[in-house]
Amino acid sequence: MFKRSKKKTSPQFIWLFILAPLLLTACQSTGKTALLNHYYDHGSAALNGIIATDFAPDGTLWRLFPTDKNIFVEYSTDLGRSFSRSFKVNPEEQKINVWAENPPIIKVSRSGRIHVLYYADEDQRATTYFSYSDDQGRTFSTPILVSDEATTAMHYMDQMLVDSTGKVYFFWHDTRHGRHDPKLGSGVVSLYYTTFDRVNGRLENQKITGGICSCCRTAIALAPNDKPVILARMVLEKGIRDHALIRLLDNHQWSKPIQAITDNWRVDACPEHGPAISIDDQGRSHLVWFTLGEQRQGIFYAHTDDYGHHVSHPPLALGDPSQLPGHPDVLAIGNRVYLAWQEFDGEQTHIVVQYSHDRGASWSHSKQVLSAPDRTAHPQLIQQNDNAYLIWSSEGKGLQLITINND
Amino acid sequence: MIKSTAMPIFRLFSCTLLLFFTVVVSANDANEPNGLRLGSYQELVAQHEAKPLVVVFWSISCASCLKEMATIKEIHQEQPSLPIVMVSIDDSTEASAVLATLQDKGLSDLESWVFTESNPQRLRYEIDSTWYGEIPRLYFFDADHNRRGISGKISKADWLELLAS
Repeated sequence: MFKRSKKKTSPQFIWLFILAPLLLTACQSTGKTALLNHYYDHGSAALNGIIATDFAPDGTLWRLFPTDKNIFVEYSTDLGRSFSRSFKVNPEEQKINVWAENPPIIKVSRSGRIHVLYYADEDQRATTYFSYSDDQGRTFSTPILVSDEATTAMHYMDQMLVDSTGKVYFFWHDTRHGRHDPKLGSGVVSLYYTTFDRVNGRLENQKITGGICSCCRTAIALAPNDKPVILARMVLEKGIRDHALIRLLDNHQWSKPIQAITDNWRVDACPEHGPAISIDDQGRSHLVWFTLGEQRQGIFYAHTDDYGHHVSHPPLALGDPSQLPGHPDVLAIGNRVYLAWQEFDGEQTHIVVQYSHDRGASWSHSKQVLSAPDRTAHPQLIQQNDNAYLIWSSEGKGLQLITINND
Repeated sequence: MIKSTAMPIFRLFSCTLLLFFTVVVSANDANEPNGLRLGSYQELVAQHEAKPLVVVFWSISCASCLKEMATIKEIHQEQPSLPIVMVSIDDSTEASAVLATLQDKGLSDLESWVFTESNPQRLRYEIDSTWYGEIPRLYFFDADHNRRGISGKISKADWLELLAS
């Protein structure tokens, strides 16, 4: 009986094996399952030429590729020479919004979780969404709004970073407190933040400070104690737009802003030119910024060992003043400090790098390393193990990645 | 029979379509900002040869620019013969938002342009090789077209002083 029954059912099992993958594929093509169906041909040009990147702990390079309606994520195991198929983050099409001062972000935690932050035009322009993947990009969580007043208050210029425990910090410019001191002038907003981790999934918004220049990206870095430090262009007394440091204290309160830089740039304008910060493992904050102040004009470097109370002086002027040097980034790895910025000669944008082997005490000559004739992102310095990489994207050339030669 | 009924319908449709394009599209043409490409700025300035001129670069997302518009409206009302040209550095895909903003601020009768160049930095450099892109950016031209560039929102008193100098 058993033997006969086995003989009769055997062909049915064979058909099941043949049909099951076909049925599964059919289900996937109708979009009823969140699994698989990940390949998308998004073309070669990212929206406004802007591509975000980060290294995973295993050395895999991840990139976020925005198009006009979608956000894609891809990875490379050969330092960007080739990329995987594309994984889509947003399940429904959205009007994606990116500009160089307000780019999307991708961050990979030590555990390998891939975090994505992007902007789409909804009730407010450039509304921020957050999503993550725990399966190497195959599936992403349903994107959620970062701001809890996303429909009524504009919020943008977000920064996202992940600490060593996997806790995610978000910082952004928020217009929900519309009434700022009128003596400061216009374009003054608040700085907000929230956190996200495996335990606390709720994004509870908290104000850090008012008096933030609305259209200059705020810079964030982790100190050796794993807590964030902020470098922001603030609107100070008499409408002076200079830079201040704010840090998260051990009592979980934010310090008052400490004006670290005095350029006396008195202007009621949108500079669209935010600073950058990197903190070395001994706690020295390396700062780069742009100003057209009374004291100095152009881009500059300085460092501080006490979060802005005392700052190296005079600041180091960077770049060729006749080539509009701007949008600098900084990266500290041990005693080495790397700088990168862009210059423009009327036809092409160039990326120039400079480095120090002694924590910013002395510097190499500057060197032009990349060029592009079209619209570009700002240059970005990122670390993988002990190496510094310069990442830069443009409309025509896409993503370019180079190691910075220390010799 | 078929011919006699089809033609009037066709004619009616054609006339309606023509009317639509005449009224709606041409009206839009009159208000839509012009596209500013490489070379456009020089043409823009040349059109106002031998006369004082103010060119204002602004953006729909720039709070300082929007505040400045109240002063621009006052100056325009007091000196209607002074050409003030509004140039939005927003992408040309934002042309309708640019127009809506100008209408909202009572400035839609001013000559208006919007950046229409794939690399906006190249366009900015052609206008002024010392301009980093901060806005509002105002250029005051005297009758000889000597140009003075100012960054940031300025007061009405500053406007009047710059126009008088």
